[in-house]
Amino acid sequence: MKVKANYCDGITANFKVLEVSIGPSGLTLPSGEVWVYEKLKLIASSKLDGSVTYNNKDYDGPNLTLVFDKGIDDPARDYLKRFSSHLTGDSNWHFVRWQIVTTAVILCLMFCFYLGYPYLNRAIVSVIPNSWAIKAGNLVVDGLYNEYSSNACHSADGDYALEKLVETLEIEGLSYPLRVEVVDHQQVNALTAAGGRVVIFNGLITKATSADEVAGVLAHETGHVYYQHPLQGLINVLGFSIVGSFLGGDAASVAVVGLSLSYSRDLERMADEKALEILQDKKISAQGILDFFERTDKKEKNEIVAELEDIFSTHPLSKERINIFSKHIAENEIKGTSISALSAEEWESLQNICNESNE
Amino acid sequence: MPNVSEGISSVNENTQHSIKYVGEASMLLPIVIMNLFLTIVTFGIYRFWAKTNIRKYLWAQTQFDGEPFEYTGTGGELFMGAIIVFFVFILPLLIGIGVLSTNFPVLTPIIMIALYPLFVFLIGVAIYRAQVYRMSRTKWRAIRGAQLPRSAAYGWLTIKYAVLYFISLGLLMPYITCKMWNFMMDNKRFGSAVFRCEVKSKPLFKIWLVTYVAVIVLLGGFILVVSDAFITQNFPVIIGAYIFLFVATTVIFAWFQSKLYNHLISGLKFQDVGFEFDLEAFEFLKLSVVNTLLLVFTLGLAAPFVLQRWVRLFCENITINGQINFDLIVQSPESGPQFGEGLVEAFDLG
Ligand SMILES: [Zn+2]
Repeated sequence: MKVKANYCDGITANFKVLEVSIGPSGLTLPSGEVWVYEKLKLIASSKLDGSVTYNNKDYDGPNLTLVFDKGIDDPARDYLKRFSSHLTGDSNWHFVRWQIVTTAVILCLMFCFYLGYPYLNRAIVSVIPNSWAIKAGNLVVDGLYNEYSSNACHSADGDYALEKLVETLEIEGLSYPLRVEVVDHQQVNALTAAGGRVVIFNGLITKATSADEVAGVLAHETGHVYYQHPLQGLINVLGFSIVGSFLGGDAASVAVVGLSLSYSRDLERMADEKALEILQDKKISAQGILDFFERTDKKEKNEIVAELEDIFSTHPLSKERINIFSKHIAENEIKGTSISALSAEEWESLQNICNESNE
Repeated sequence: MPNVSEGISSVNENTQHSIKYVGEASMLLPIVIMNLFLTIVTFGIYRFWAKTNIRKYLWAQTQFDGEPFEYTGTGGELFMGAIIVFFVFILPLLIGIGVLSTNFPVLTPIIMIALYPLFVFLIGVAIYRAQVYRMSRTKWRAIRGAQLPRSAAYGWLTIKYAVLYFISLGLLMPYITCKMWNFMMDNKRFGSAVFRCEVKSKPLFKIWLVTYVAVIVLLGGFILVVSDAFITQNFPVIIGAYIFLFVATTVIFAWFQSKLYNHLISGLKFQDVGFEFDLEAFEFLKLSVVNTLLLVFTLGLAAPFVLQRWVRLFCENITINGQINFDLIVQSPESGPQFGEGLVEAFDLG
């Protein structure tokens, strides 16, 4: 079956009018040249006049527009459609299939990124100079002090007790020395900023029933410092979420928040494990930190809200966590062998560290 | 290359050139639905491919002399463009600003001030580069378009005219618009053929002044009425005044914009061919209002349909005068940039 066609050679913008014959395997041009159906790429198909335009995957250049005199119901068009409905653009399945494949590839790449991301993050952390980390930590902590319009508490005895506690928990392998401060705020919390800066909220100390509780929490924070988690967190916020929102818009930002939440739980687990290791090594009972967690467990709902605000300032609490600590105590600690982190006198000084500085 | 020497060579018949849009909402709908679904599934990353699908459709449904345009860009190119801009550009810029302002806090305000012209420059560059990409991915009768790579010059023009715009309190707007438009259009090519554009801003000044004064009068009147009504707590009057202000400014700007577009497009030349754009203010107003409502009530989901309506309006109102000699137009030597439009993504201008 013959049909009129406009042939554009891709060299000039003019065209030649040809008569093309529609065969079972392809379109035969007057020159004898055959454009086989498998090689045709549909550029356009008009529902208005029925015309269809192709180029040929074998040549980078020419294109061919079939012009049907009787428009969309032309017998030649129907004849062509019999070989494949893709040829006239009446079926979009080729196109849809291709888009689904594209989506699958995107999803695979996203999954690879998800799996590889912790390694990428650590790689970035390892190239950031320590001095930058310390600066970043100072920025965060200073910002916090500004927000609470308060400062680090100091008192002679309190400072001594705090220093003793930090020294007791000191471990090897830290990228920077620990800098622990107490801030005069009633919140029961502690946070670790980049560069080894740890801030304990006074509320945590005053509500604590023993020095071992504070020691336990501090051991946990030391774990974060050991793994440089705060720096990882900063990179998450600055890097990952910017990339996410840049590439994917708002939907990706939501996904990134979800991702960093699950990621931060992993970090908490790592810090807990390190804390238990430190405590056991220093012969301090983990009962203290367990008591602390059990007491604050009741406030879990509020903690999650706080966690959204700053994923690295708070510690998601769960039954799972309490179980791990109880199990550790039952398996590894022999009653009466552990030593107290601070003497009763030192503990009292630490509890009053903010009171004395206010006088 | 196939040999087609036996074909009948077409003669340049003396018929009027025409541009026609043949797409319909019903054909666009399945594409939009698929795009939406896959974009959600991929947390938004699919949008580069979604955008490409819409363009391929719009191009294919636009016919010049009965032959469709072809969009040869791909979603992958847009995606890579965005990635590249992020890593060679956004990230270094952010790190640079961060490092500078933490090490030299004194410099922070200076950096912030310096960022404004930089952003204006980059917005110009972004808009221009997007055209470079799009033109290179546009084909008709297998001949490529091109936008000459002069994005930096366009960026500087943007800064220059942004300053002029503020200094003149917007009064020089027609002059600025014409200059930018001329630069953009003068650097467009189709194959070896050149677009020329020398739009003069003089005829626009009168209507711009009318618009300008009308808006000032309206605003002044509005403030008088509303401040009075506030004292007497006359809320119907306040609401009425707001509605009146909104409607009146919409009408005035529609009037001005239709005149502006008519003037800009009518100043375009291609070979010896001229264009005439004859859009009536009322028609423009009607379409703007409906399109805005469409976007508002679908929370932006109708954007591809809105785009289609604009393309159709454009095609329906343009006339092409004169004969193009297609034999003189040969394939464009440049194949265009490898990746596309990342910078436009960065500024959300796409
Ligand atoms: Zn923690």
